[in-house]
Amino acid sequence: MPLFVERYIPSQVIWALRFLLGLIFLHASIGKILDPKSFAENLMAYQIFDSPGLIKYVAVTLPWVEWFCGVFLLLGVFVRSVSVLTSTLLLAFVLGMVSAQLRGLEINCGCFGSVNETIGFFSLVRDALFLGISLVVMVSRVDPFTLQVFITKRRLSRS
Amino acid sequence: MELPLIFVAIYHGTPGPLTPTSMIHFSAPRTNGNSGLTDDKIENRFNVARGENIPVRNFGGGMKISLAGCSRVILTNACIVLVSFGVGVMLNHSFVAGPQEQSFSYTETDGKPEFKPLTAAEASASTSFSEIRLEELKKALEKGEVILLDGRSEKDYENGHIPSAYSLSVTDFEKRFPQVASRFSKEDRLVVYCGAGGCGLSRRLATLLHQRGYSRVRIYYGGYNDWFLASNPVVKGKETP
Repeated sequence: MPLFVERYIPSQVIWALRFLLGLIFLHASIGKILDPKSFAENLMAYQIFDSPGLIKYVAVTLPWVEWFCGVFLLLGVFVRSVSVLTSTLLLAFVLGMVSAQLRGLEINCGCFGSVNETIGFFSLVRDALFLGISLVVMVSRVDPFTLQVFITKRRLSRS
Repeated sequence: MELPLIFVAIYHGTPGPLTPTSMIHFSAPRTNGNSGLTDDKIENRFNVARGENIPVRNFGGGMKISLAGCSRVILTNACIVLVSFGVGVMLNHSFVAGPQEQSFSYTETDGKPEFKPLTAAEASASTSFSEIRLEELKKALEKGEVILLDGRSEKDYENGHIPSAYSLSVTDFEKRFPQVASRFSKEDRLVVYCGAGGCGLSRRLATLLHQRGYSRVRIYYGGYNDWFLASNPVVKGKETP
C-alpha cells in the first residue's frame, strides 16, 4: 500500500484527503465539546466502560483530542504523528461499533455529537472509509502544502 | 500507547520523511516534490540542523525504521492527549467533579418530547408530575419511602438499572402492569425514570399510571444515565421476584 500510494496518488490528492480528514475531525469534535454530558451518555450506551468516572473523563478529553487532530491536519503540522493518532481513534471507533452491533445494541452512534444516528451499516461503512483516508494520509509522503514544509523550506533556502 | 506501536509495525513500507515526525525511509534516494532535493538530503539537513544523530535500525529489504522517529510520534500524541485532557477537565470541571442536577420543563411537540431547563421559580411551581432530584431520590430510597419504576425496555433494564427498581417497560405496559402493580398500592409514592432527560418514556409511564389512579407519581428526569454518571451503584440482570 505505501508503494502504491507513493506511485499512483499525486500529492494534491494527499493534500485533499488530509484537509478532508481535518475537517471531519474538527466537525465531529464541536458537538461533543459543546455537550459533553450527551456524549458521556452515548459512551455509556456502548457498555464498554464500567466506571462512570472513566466515562466522564473520556467524554471531556476525546472531543479535544479530535479538535487538536482536526486543527493540526488542516494546518499541516505533525501530520505523520496526528495521522497515526486519527487512525488509532478511527480503528477504535469502528471496533466499538462492530462490538455494539454484535451485542445487538441499538444505540446512538455519538459520532458527531448530539446528532441522533443509530449505529448501522451506513455508520460502519462511513467510519471505515474515514479510517481508509487516515491510513492513506499516514503512509503517504507528507504533501508539500503543509505549514511545516513551508517553514522548513524557508529555513533551508535561507541557510 | 500500544496501538500506535502496532501502526508502526505495519508502517514499514513508508518512504521519504519530509517532517521531523516521520519514522521510516527507504535507503534508495527519492525526489521530493518541487524542491529538487532528495529525501535523504533533506533528512540529513534536518538532522544536521538539529544537531541530532538519529539511530536507524535496518530491518532488511532496504527499509529502515527510525526509533527516534517512533519516539517522536508517541511523544507528540501523548502531548496531544495530555493537553486535551487538561483543557477538557478544566472547561468541564463541574461535570467531571460531581453529579449535575438540573430541572426540566417538559412539553410535547408533534409527539416529540422537548426538555428545557427550568428556572428555580418555574421548578417550584411544578405540574402534576413533579420532578425528584438525585439527592432527594437517594434519601427516599434509603428510607424506603418510594417505589421506583424503570420505564425502559426489558433489555435495557437487564443491562443495568437502579437498585430496587421494578421493570415496567412502556412498550410492554399492558402485559407487565398487573404483575408489577401487585407490589404497591395507589397510596404509595412512585418514582418513574427512563434512560435520560430526553427519552420521554418516564413521562409516558407517569401518564399511564396517572390514568389508572396512581396520583403520587414523580419523575426522575435525570434517569439511569444521571444515576450512573454520578457513580451510584447499579444492578445488572433480571428483576428478582
